[in-house]
Amino acid sequence: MSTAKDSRFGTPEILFGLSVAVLVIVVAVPMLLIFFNAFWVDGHFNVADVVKVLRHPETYKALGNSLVLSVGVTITGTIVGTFFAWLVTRTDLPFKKSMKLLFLVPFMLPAFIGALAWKMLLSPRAGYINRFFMDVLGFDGPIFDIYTYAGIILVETMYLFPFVFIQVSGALERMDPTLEESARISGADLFTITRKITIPLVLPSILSGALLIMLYSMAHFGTVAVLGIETGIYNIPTLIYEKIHQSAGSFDSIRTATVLATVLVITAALILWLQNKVLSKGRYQIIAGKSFRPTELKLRGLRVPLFVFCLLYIGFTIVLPTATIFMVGGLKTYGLPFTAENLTLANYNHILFEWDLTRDAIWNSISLGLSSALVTMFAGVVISYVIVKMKVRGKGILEFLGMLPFSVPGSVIALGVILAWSGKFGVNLYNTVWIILLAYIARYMAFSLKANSAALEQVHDSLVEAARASGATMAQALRDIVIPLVRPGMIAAFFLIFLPALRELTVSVLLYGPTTRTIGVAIYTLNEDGETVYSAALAGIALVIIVLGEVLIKRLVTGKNNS
Amino acid sequence: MNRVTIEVRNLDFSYAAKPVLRDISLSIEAGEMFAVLGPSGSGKTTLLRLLAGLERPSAGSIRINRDDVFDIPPAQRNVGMVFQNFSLWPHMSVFDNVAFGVVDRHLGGAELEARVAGILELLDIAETRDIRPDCLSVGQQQRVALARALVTEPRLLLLDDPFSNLEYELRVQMRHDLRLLQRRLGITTILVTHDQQDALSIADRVAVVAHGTIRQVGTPAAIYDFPNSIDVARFVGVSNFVPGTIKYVENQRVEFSSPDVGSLRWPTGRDAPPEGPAVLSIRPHALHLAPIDGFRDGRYLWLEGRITTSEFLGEVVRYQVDVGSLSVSVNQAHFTCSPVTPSGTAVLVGFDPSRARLFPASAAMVPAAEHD
Repeated sequence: MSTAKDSRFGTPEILFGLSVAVLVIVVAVPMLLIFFNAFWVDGHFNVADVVKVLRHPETYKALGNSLVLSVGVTITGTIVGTFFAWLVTRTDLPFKKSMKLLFLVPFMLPAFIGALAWKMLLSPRAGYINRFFMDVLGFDGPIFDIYTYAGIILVETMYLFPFVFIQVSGALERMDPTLEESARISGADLFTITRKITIPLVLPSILSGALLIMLYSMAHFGTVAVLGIETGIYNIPTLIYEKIHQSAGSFDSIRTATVLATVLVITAALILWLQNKVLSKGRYQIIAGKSFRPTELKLRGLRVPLFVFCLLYIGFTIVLPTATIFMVGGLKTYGLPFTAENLTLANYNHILFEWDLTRDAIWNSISLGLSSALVTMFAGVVISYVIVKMKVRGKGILEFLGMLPFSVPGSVIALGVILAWSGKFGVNLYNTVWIILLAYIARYMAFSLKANSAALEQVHDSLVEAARASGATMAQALRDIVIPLVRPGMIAAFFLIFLPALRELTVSVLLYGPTTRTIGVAIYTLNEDGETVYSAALAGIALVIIVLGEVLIKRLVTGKNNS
Repeated sequence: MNRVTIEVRNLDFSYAAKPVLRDISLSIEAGEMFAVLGPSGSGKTTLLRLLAGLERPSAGSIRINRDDVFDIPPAQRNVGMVFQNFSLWPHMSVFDNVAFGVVDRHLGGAELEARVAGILELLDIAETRDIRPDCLSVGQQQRVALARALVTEPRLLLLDDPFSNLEYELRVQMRHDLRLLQRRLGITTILVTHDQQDALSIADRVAVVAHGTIRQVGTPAAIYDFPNSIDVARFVGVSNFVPGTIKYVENQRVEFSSPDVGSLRWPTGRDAPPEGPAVLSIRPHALHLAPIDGFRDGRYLWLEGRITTSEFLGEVVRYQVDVGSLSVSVNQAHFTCSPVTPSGTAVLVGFDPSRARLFPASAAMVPAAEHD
């Protein structure tokens, strides 16, 4: 690649320049504006004012809530995730393979839809389960109030524990079984081996999964918005939402929001830094080469009870809420008992074919998902190419800018694009679908860069050199060698973006206008407006679309691998 | 350390309904260094795991010093094992790795300290005691794994292909050191390997396994000189195989005929396969070259051939000689300044029939395994 050095502005420089421009416009400007607005008051740098905002009870309560909720979810999610991971990898639990897949299902389901379902089941007065206990069994009060810290933690745990589950079950599966066997031969019992060998070796994976839960929960909007606002439990993202929405863009509320966003960014950066440290320190070479299967713990008498427990857990956290969504979505009026004469398909019909608001929402989500996935996939492959393959100075900036949104919560990105693209700098995209698209591109760029860089790193430089030695031009080498080899990475990037974008709520809820609701926003606002039945029906349709999408991708990906 | 004998009787082991080991019987003497040699997939590692108690046999018995250990878990068998990849715990220092087995047998602090220090000293790795295993060289890692296996003063030491991760020179060194250590400690040791050099060079006796069964047990020299089947001859060392037919003629003589070598007769030796198709096996160093018009020594049978290639290997020169349609390997000792016969030269190839082996041709052939 030394030929590029000959001219000052060759292809590498142009590509590099374009990549920087894209990332600056999409990522850097909005982020900088947040810090600028937080710390820059009346034309000068002002920290005292930031402190004043932070000392406002509303603000520090939200900060405290974010902390309490995310720490709570992290603890419960880590325990649940580690326990199930151990159960499906190291014991003789029946149907382990299927159980493992079932435990991954909550990852597909949007947490705010789950929150909606649990609200219908366990809200203190109207929840079906609470009413059953009060009306039928004669209890004095509700058995569980979902509008509490405990309720929010419970619901978030159900949907976030797979972060730990995936990491820990992966580590337990990859771990060389002879590491434990040599301890057995040394005379140690199972308890000692677990305590001194197994747990220390998987601890980095447990911690890294736990920190992912924390990062996600800290920045999570949906569950707290659905379950917390009623009783005044705000976390940072929901307070940002309140500030932006209710005060119609007044300067004070924007400032409060930017300060909150800054705190969120710093916390998130801290968590990611910690996770990185944990991973790099603890990345032992424990991966087995040719080896025997790990010894399974015989559960004996507990085998059936634990299996039943797993089934109950899955039934309770996946089947029950999903069924509730579909049933409520079919009710003529919310609150009616589930009897045949109360159920109808009219709601689904209305939502899919009659009502503009919901039809627009579905259309918006699909087109936003497709276009953001396409744009990000192509931009990602170019930027990754510059980062991985080209020897240009300053490409570290690209990497930093590209990965930045990964650590930046969705509400912060949304706030940033509001500051940048609502007319202050001559471009007003507010209330249009374009502002959501810009935010999506910024938010999902990191996914695309990760998938594409990983694919590009597999393509050794010598492959391109061999093509050029055989007489191909650089362009031909790219077209015939590089692109075919990174295509799987590009496809992966596309779906990694398209699926989350379909069910996105946190970003779009801050950016939507009258005609630019996404599916997530429509479900959320319908629920807020008391249209519980339509909200549930739309959520049901969203679940169908999401599950179909996931299945389609599994088909596509496995079909590719087989051929 | 107490010396123990090992008695394995009619051991069977199946995994997922597929037999891995069939009817394994072995007697290993106290203090013996015993090697199990076989290609990968022959079930030799499984045999080791059965002895350690990591797997449970489907049938048969294992006795250590006449105690049946069938139902004894690995922790109570008091054996030491070195795994192929060493399996050192990456989150512990060398000291903690070695001390692990002792800590759990409730030893006092100072005594433990002395015991671990002693074994590290014995293996010449005292200076690594506070280092994590990842930072050690492969040779040091191997010594740590040995130290960890020996620190509990086991009755039996099991080694799973312990040299396969080492480079050639280190491997020779470690073989030598291990042999000395084992002699010094007098510990009964079973070594499993796919490498014939590892097995032949340090073992008192060798068992050759293939397809889950034991084919031959004997001293390295006996296995090498008198393989009991074509499989063993193929797997241990290098040999030339000449297909043909045999029949027994008067005066206790055997006649071997093949289109390539014609008809040869010699006195019946220690193996006498039935008449019919057979394979003659002869090692390259049991063949002699002579000038085509040279003196035909009466002790040898002589064939005519032509050299096609030669490899100069230092101690020997290995020639490929075409005899009829066969290509035969011949090793000739090399002495300072002795010339290498050029390719294309017509030569006489002679062999001493008492150093050749005859096998029935119908015997199933094991694919020639790794000779590295």
